[in-house]
Amino acid sequence: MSCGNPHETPCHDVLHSLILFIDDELEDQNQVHQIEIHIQECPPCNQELQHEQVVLSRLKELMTSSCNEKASDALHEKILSQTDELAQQMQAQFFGMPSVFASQVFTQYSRTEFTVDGIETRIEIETTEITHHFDSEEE
Amino acid sequence: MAVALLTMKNDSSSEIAPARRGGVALSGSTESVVQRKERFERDALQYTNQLYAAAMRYTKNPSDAEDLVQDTYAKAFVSFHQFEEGTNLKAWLYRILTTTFINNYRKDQRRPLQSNGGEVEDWQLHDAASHTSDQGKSAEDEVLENIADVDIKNALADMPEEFRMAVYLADVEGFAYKEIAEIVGVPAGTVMSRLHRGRKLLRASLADYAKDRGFISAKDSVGEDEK
Repeated sequence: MSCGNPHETPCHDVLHSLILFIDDELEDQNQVHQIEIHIQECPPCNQELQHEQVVLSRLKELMTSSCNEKASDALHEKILSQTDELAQQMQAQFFGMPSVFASQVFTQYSRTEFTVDGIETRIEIETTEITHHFDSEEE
Repeated sequence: MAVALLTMKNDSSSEIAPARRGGVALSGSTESVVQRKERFERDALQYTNQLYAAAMRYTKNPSDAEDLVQDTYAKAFVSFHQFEEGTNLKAWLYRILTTTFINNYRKDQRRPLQSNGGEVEDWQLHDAASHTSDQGKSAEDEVLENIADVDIKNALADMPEEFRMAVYLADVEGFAYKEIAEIVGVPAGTVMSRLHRGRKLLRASLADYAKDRGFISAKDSVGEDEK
């Protein structure tokens, strides 16, 4: 089933890329342009495009309206109190109580000054990273 | 010769002052715990309902879905410093949700997480490369005009998990292929394959429901001309 006219881009290729075209996922703008031209020239492909667009937007609508469960108040509450608790544990960890969440990185700087020939002063700074790992239960 | 030794938090040199004002600075950032919590509550918690609906698609039951969303927010808060402000927070949360589901909740843990490479070519072979008949088109329109919410939910629930995820993330949440690839942890080509096959499965399955409910006749059934 084709309109019978020769096209620069064959129907087969257009149909193949149609869904990417509809999803706006074709990266090659040249290809997008070619499909647009083909669609104008070829009624069957045009109808195919329209049908696919209608079906897809209808499917999206249907799924969105039927899959819209709301979280219960209890769940909202649980998440808030869980966040409070975790924040408290983070505070506690900072004040020296090991917690499960993090490692802390300290940078130690050692600065060495020395005098050469009694005139110039040279300063050398060494930095060392010290990572303190707390016990971790994370993956 | 004098040696000075000082220890300070690795908050990129002298930038530690603002954090200290808020009380406690978190490692790797200049943000205090209080500030982080405020930012989290303001920016992240608005997605609770959406994540719950997605968790319902993943786990298929309210109790697991609640646990999954709660776990997701626990992980998200603890690693909130890793989230780059200005990037897509919703996608970041969905990635945690999805990874947590795959690792801890899915019923059959033995299933391979990644698909094989053959999947990409597969959809292309199955993809209809000819025009659909007018009859097929109008039959499908009729299906979609009459289908019930419960049938949509069931049709989605009955789909293999990876297809269901791809369809849901693309068509309900509106994520782009690349975003879904990051959320699910597979290449974009695999997402494409799963999404297209998932949509086809969904359409075929809705046509079956329609047939069962008697509002289209078997001979008009959708998809016949694609086989």
